Amino acid sequence: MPYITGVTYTLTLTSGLTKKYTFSPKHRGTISNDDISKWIISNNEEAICFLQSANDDYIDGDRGWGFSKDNGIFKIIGGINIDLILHQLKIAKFTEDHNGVWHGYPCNLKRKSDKPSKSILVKWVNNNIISKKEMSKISAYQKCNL
Amino acid sequence: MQPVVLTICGDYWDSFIYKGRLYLWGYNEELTIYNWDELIDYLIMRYSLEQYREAIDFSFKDGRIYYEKYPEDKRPYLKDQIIYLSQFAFELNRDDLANFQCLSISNPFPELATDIEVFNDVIYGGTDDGLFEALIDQNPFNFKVISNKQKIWGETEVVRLKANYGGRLALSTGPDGLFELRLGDKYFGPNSFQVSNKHSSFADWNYSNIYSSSDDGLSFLALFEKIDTVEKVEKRQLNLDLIKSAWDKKETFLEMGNVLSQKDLFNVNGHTMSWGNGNKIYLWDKNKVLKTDFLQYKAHADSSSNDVIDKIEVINLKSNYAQEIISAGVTYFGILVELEDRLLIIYESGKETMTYDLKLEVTKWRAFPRSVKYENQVHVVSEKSIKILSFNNDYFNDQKNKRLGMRFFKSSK
Repeated sequence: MPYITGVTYTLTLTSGLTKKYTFSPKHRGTISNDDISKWIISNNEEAICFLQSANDDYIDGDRGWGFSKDNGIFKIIGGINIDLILHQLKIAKFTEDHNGVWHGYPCNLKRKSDKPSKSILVKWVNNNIISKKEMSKISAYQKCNL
Repeated sequence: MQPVVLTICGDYWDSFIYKGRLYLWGYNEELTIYNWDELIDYLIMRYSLEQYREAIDFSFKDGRIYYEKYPEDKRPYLKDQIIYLSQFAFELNRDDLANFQCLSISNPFPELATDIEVFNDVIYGGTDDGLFEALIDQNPFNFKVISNKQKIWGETEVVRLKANYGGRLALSTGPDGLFELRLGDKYFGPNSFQVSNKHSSFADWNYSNIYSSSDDGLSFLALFEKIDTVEKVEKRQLNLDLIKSAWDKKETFLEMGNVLSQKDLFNVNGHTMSWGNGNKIYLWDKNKVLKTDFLQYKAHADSSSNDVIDKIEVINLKSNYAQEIISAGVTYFGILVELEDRLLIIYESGKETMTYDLKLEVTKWRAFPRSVKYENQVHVVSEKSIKILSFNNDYFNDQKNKRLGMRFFKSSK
């Protein structure tokens, strides 16, 4: 089923629990200079990314982080223009609003509100998603080529 | 002159050496502390190197004696011994270390600290939730680390911290800028404040001034001046009564002055990184390093860039490094530059510029330029080991004229 931008769906986790998820139009479209990151993967891939994050418990309260890997390599899932320079983004951030509806966007690891919490990074190292080096660099907002 | 290298195998997160003990943070959130001197004695026995004991002791246990009082006539012999030792690949594993364990406790901080610093028998841990402390009880009969996971500063997260000799901590918080935390009651005024809201990846001390470095903005030098005369009070148009009250209480009045940007200091545009420590400031430029001396005796709160730095010299490197710089540091024995896939230690051996190229997935690295015994060490944590490198080139360098590394002033130590 193709997911439609702007519509809220009920997604089912492997545990049988469900999560409401909306495909935010704000993060779709051409990457411009408005400081808003944009997905370059399809809505379907965005949904898979969110479901994987929720299934693997990469959720910390009302925030979660996800990714998409292809043959063990982080896929570029979106982009953002910062000071007219295009930055390719590989990590997604998901947030839950007060109505229990989640949405997500490709996140900029240099931005304070986007950086995954330490507990999520530890889980990723333990599950061989990232290396300790990558955890160390992300924790300190250092350059990190995932 | 190559470093003497000891590799400790294991899954570690961070490493620190302090007052004869090696502090190893396991990735499993255990802090294990080892008797370092006994461990080095074991290394000598294990590798049958009794005849090289002096050189090994100087390399790992106490390097300061080189600078301070080592007889000139014995230096060439010692140098030959160190060169010989640098050919070994010393290696120890957890089982080797077990016999020298002083203490093993769960992580004294609420999470794996993003950075740690040890000052005055206190371990400070920078975390996502602020700054925490754990106290070291050095009682030889009951050595322990005491922690109630007490947060001592929580304005924002701390990604790097660096203490100076005077009990001031420079706190780099990434996008929230640079803060200073003053420990104890030595200083007048608030014990913490924001030095700058400009991005700060890490910072270090050009004497009483803070050099903040950034990989996401311009690095800068924040000047501080000790106000200790009426003349300075009048020149700075400060409140004399207020400052006299500080003097009466034996408090130091430090005024923060100008913040000098990297662009002004080096007259360069673009996003490269500069960093400072002691009497040196450097700027990275892929196949070369720009170096200048920080002129402390000319620095005042209202100084300009031209006042506080000497002429800029170019130090050419033998290789061109395409990768972007991640972090850097200055020690006595040289400078450290972390790139995406390696750590470079650039130093002088005689008049020759040497580059020790450690091609590793570096989790963390740490040097100890303010230590009184371990200023020659670099600890490099990678996925499956810690390398402890001892650089001994600087003991044989001309301190006044060297370009790479801080100058060692004998009289000040």
